[in-house]
Amino acid sequence: MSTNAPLSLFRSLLRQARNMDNYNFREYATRRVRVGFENNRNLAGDHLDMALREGREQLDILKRQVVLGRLYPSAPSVMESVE
Amino acid sequence: MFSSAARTAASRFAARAAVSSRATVTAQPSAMSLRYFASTFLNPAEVQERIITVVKNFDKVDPSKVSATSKFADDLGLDSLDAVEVVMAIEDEFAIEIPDAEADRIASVADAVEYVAAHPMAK
Repeated sequence: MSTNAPLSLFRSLLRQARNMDNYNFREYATRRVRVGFENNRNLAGDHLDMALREGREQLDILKRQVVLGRLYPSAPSVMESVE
Repeated sequence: MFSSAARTAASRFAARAAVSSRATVTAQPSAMSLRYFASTFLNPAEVQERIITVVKNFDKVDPSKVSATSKFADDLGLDSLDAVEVVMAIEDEFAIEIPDAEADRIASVADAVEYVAAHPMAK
């Protein structure tokens, strides 16, 4: 279970990031989540617990920002029409 | 003369159209439910092809190495974070959400094909 907790948090963060309405915020959140986990790849013990706690706080912030982003929608980015 | 003939032709056509549309309406429910039932599960061959395409499109994967039996970690050199991202890309492709416990068990293309082919909501 302890090895799965970071992966589970990673997945939850990516899921929330994907829900962001604005293209730039969505892409930034996705990149930032990945970088955060890359940087903390080798943490263990208390440092790991602290990082996980911080990650969960970030998850709550991300959830709130997803809702806020929906309240104030922006025009789609040109990048979204390229695909 | 001409216009009245045209009108009768038109009305006859309209009547036939109405009859035929009614016929299709009555015929539809059974055809619809049949089709609906048949499309509940995707064809495993199609699932496999689409999953291989998704995996090949992942940045960190060498497309030439991807096959139906590739394991994410051993054959494709992906770490656990990459594997999570691949599984999420597969979720996007088939418009499903895979629960954590199931997602952790998907470690190869074959695992993913098996899971998606058995998923009733996969599109």
